[in-house]
Amino acid sequence: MNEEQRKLREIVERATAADDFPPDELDAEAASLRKGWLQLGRLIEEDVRSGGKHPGSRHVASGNPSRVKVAPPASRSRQPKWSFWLVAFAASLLVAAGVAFGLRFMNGVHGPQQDSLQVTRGNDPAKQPTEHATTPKPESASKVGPETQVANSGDAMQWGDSVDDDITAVGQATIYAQQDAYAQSSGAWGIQAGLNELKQEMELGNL
Amino acid sequence: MNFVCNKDDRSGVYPNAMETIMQESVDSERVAEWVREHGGAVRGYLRGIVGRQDLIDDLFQEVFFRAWQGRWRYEERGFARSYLLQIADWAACDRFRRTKSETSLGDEVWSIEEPAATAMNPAVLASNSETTNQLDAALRQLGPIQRRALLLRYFGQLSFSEIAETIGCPLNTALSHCHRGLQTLRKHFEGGEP
Repeated sequence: MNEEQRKLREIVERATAADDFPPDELDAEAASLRKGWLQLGRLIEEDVRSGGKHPGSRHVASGNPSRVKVAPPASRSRQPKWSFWLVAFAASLLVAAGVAFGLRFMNGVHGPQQDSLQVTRGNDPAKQPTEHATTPKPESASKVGPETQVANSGDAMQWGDSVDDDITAVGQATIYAQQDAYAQSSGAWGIQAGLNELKQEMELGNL
Repeated sequence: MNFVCNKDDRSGVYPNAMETIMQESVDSERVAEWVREHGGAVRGYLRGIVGRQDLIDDLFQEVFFRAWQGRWRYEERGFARSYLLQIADWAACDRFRRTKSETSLGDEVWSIEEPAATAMNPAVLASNSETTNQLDAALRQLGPIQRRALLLRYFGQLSFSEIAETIGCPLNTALSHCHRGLQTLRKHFEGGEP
């Protein structure tokens, strides 16, 4: 810090000191600056005593009354517009997804289960204890549903049919078919071998 | 500086629960004492910087809330006022940065939003209003940095090194701002605009 800066610091420190300096201890510039400083302090003290809640006090911050700034409500109301539409779009997507999931769930629950229930009712007497545990009445027998009638008509298998015979017959037919295929392929292989032998002999000039 | 920051975190400072509770109580008393002893200075500084009463109330609470939050890092050295005034300065500057996009309402709207008090004696009210207007007129002559520097000096008796650190400028710059501000005040109170 050079001499000029040191002197500046001394002047400012003395002019703004909290302690009372006798006027003769201050140089002319410090004394004149201190007058303004004390005047400012007096105004501040009076303002503090009065509470400082006056209309004029709000202008201090900007230094100019025309620059006092307060957030207008209009700017606040403009901001949520796009966010409102965004939220509405997201909500509609959510509702659509929920409806789609609900429809799939309903189809998954009622469709296949209903079919399986129909098959079960139509074919398995164990699942119909009420009909077989008691003697069926003519009225109840006549009340069989249409799906049960369809299931019982035609070539549909009945509970208690011998499935083993059919399975055995199908298995034997399969074995016969395989044997035929092997025989045909072996025949073709034999013809091919004969042709090869004839070819070799022709090349050797034996024929 | 008159205060230092303790870098230890909260868990490391107070190892057990009883000590923590006792320390909480001590800290609460200390912050309450800060409000009692230095609340007026902090409010006065904020009044000089921001001016508007609603902002002063908000910032006043914010200053002591920040002081409460930072109590773990504060070590008492007997100069709490400078610590609080620095927080007040940061809070005020931060508020101004955040409210740059605001627009003016004008005096007519203000007179509706903040009607004059009717309970006071009109003569007292006029006198107070005159004082306030004089103070506002004087402060309006100062630049923002001059105002901050002089008010920190007035309310906190901060040294010029502390003022320079708070404002964020070299010591000589802070001295120059104070000197020019004092010259401006002298000219203003002598009767003419500078």
